[in-house]
Amino acid sequence: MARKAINITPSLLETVRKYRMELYNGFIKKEDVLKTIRGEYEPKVELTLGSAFHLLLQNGTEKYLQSDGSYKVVDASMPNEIIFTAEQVETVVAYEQRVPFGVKECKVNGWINVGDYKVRLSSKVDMLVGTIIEEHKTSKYAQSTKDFEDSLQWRTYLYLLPECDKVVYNLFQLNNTKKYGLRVNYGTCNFYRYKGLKADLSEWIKLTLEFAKSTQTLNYLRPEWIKTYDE
Amino acid sequence: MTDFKIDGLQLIAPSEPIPPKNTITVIYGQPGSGKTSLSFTANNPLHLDFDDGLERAVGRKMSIKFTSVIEDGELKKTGYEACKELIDSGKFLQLVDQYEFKTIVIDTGGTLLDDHIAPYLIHNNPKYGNSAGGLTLQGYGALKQEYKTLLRTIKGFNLDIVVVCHATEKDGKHRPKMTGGSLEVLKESCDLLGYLFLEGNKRTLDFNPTESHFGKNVAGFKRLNIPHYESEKYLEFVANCIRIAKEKMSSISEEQKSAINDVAEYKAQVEQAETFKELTAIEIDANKLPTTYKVQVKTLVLEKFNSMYAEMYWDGLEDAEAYTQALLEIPENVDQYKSRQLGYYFFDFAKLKGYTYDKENKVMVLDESVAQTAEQAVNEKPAAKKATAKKATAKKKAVPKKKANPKKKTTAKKATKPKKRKAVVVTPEIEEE
Repeated sequence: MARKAINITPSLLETVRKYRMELYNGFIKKEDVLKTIRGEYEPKVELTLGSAFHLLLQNGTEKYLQSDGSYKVVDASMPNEIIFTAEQVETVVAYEQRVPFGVKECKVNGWINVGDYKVRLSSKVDMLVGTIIEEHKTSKYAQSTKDFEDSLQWRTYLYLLPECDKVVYNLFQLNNTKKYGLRVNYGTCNFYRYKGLKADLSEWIKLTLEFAKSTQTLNYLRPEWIKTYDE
Repeated sequence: MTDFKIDGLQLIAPSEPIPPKNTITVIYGQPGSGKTSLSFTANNPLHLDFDDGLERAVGRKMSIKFTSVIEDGELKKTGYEACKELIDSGKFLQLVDQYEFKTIVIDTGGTLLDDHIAPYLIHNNPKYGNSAGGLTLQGYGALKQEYKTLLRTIKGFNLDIVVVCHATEKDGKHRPKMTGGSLEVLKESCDLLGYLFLEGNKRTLDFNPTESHFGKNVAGFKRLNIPHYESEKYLEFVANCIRIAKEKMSSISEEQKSAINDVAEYKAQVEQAETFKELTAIEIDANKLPTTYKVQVKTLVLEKFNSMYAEMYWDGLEDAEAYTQALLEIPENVDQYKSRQLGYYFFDFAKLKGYTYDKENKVMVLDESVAQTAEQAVNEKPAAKKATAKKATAKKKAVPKKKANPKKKTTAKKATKPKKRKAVVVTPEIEEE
C-alpha cells in the first residue's frame, strides 16, 4: 500500500484528545487544535514560575547556581529572570542526586503506520535513566495519577522506546502563598507498558488525521521534508 | 549487591538493581464476580473482612472479621479502631509470625474507608464530620492520610497486600469504588490493578488499562482467564500473578542496571573525546545500539559538541558586537542540523553571560532582564490557570471513538493555503514540553 508520510507530535495528540473528550469543561476549543496543527503558538511574554522551575529540572540546577547560593533562572527569549532560594530548589537537588545517571532532553522519533499514512512521531523526553523514562510536571495544583493516566504522551514514549516498560512522572507542586512564600511538594506516579498500547495510540492518531482532513489542515502535518519519506 | 549491611539498613549503589519490594495488588469487580474467593488464592493470606462478604466466598482461608461496636445507638468502637489496636499492640505481627502469613487481604477497600475509617476519624475528631454525618474536606484529607499509613504499615511487615474493591462506573469507565483521594493513593501505590468481570461464561481479570476500565500492569500480563475454582491452576492464581510481577520488577531492575552501565561507558567515551571527529565516530558507532540507548548516546554527543564549539569559538567574547559576529558564523562552521541546535545553545549561553538577541535589529545586545523572586513571578499562564480551575467541574462527554459527540464532528472548510513556518536559526523558540 502506498502511504503518505505525516509528522505528528504527542502534544498535538494530547490537544486533540482533550478537545474530543471535552476535558477541562471544554476549555480546549476547535480553534486551539487548529492553531496547534498550524504551529501557531501563543508567544510567551515572560518566564513564568512553572517554566522557570521546569528549566531547573531540564538543564540541571548547577547551570543557574549563583555565588550567593541562589539560583537565577533565565530563558534566552524572555525579558525577566527568576531567582530561587536554595531552599526552594532543595527538591530538585535531591531529585538530581537520586538519578545521577540520567540523560536529559533526549529527542525520540519513530514511525507508525495508520491506514493510508506513515506517521512520524516526534518527541523529546525530559530524561532517560537507563530504560526508565522520566517526565517532569510542574503545577500550582496538586497533581496525581488521574491527571495523566489517559495521556498519550507516555503512551507515545513507550511506543517509541521499545526497551522501556516504565514511565515515571515527577510531579512538582509549586505552592506559592503570601503567608509562606513558595513551597515545593514532590510526588511521583508511574505508568507501564500494556497490551493494546499501540492500538490505543493508533486510534487517536486516526482521529487526529480525520480531524486534520475534515478541517483541511493535513498539509500542515506534511512539511516538505517529510514528503521524501512517502512510500 | 553491596556487602555493607546492618540490621534495618542496606546500602544500594545507584547502578545496582533495587531488590523486589512487597507488592500491592488491587482486584475490583461487580458484586458476585468472585473477588473475595480469588483473593484467597494469594500466597498464604490473612483476610481482613470489613464487608461481610466472607460467607459467599469459595476456598476460605484465615480471616479476621471487623465490626463496629454500637451500644444504645451510639458508636463505641469502629472496626478500624480494632484493626489499629491489633496492629499497634504487636498482636498482629505475632499472628503473622505464628501462621506465617505472606499476604494481607483487605476486603473491601471501599467499606474499610467509608464504614470504618471515616466514622473512626469523626468519632475522634468531630471537626472532620459535617452536619450530614459525612466527612468535611479536611476529613477527606485525614482519610487519605490514614489509609496511606495503613498500607505503608502493612507493607513494612514484609507482607504483600491484596485490596479487594467493588467496581463502580463513571463516564463509561469501570473503576474501584473508593472514597475521596484514597483511590488516587491506591492507584499510585499499587503495582497491579485488575478488573474482574464476566466475559460470556468465563471470569476474566484484566490488568491492562482500557477505554472501559482502569488498570495497572507492571508485569505486562495479557487478559487473564480465571480457571475454574476446582482446577489446580486456580489454587495459586493470585499468588502466581504476584510472583510474576515481582520477577518482572526484578528483571526491569536488572535491565536497568545493564542499560545504565552501557550508557555510562559511552558517556565516558564522549567526555574523553577531544575532537569533532572523535565525536562523530562515537555517534556512528551508537547507530548499532537499541533505540533507547542510541538516543541517549546521541544526546550526550550533541551536548559535548555544543560545549566544545562554545569553548573553541565563544570563550572570551567581550562585547555585543563579538556575540553578533559569533552568531553569524555558526551556519558557516557547521551543517544545518547542528547549526539549529547550536543556535538554541548560543542564545542560552549568551543570556547567561548577559547578552540577548534584538530581533528587530538582528544583533546581540546587552541584556536588561528584570530580576524577580520566585514569589513575585507569575505562577502560571492565565490560560492554564483557567483550565485547571475548571477541572473540578469537568465533565467528559465524548467517547474517543468515531462515534464521538456529533457536536464535535468537524466540517470541512474552504481549503486554506498552508503557512510557511518561520526560519528557526536566529530566533530562539522553545519546543513544546
